[in-house]
Amino acid sequence: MSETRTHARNRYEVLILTIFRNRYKRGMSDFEFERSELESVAENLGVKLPKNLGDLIYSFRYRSALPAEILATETGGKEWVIEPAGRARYRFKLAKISRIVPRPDLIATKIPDATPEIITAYALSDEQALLAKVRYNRLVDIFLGLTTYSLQNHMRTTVKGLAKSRSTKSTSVSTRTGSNSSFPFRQKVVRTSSPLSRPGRIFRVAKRNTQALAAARYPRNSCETA
Amino acid sequence: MRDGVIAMFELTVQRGEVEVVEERHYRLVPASEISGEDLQLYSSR
Repeated sequence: MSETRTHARNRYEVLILTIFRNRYKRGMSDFEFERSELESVAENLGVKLPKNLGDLIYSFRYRSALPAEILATETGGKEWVIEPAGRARYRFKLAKISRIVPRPDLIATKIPDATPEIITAYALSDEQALLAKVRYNRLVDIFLGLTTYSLQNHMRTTVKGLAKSRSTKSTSVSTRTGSNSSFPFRQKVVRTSSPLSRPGRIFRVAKRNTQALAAARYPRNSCETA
Repeated sequence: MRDGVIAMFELTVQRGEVEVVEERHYRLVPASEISGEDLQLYSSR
């Protein structure tokens, strides 16, 4: 890990921990805070403010573990998650621990690999390679048993009660017996050896947000999440 | 995932919690690695 990365992570931890300490009282199961509080906390502490405040929040929602002092207050089989609570507003919430991980004993169906070799050779990341494989092999169609069409790689819209705009990685629209449906998707490459892989947390947030986004964007369609 | 397996989930929210509706695993292989036995197994599901 580079020095710069280490420094950034420590700065993120200091800021989120200070906000938590300012707001949390023993026994609380949720509380809200404004994104602007990050600015005032950073100023008070003399910490250089990250250029992208959204990345700080994103980091603790998806990539990094919260500081140990925060984790130590988790009780009753619950864990702290950070949810959007409106425009530039977030909610720390103690939520039931939900670990959605692939079953190790589930049979894997063999599918003839239709991924072009050139795509495999030049994919820039694991996530990009995964998306290409899913698309070229029509795994969404196979999984859903429907004919689906890729509509949009990033869907952005506004949902009351959530942040002003969020995005999903890709969205497909399918037709079946004349009805139309929209399916927001999130993909994640999970390395089982990584202690920071928290797929339960990722899927929890992705599910709630993407379903609301699809419903807001495509009100005439039924909206499911896969 | 193990051996490059791709796991797909259908999720839903019940009582405020995310739950799995369906889970399927797929392994992309050269066509030559799919045997008659495999196809017989798949057609009987």
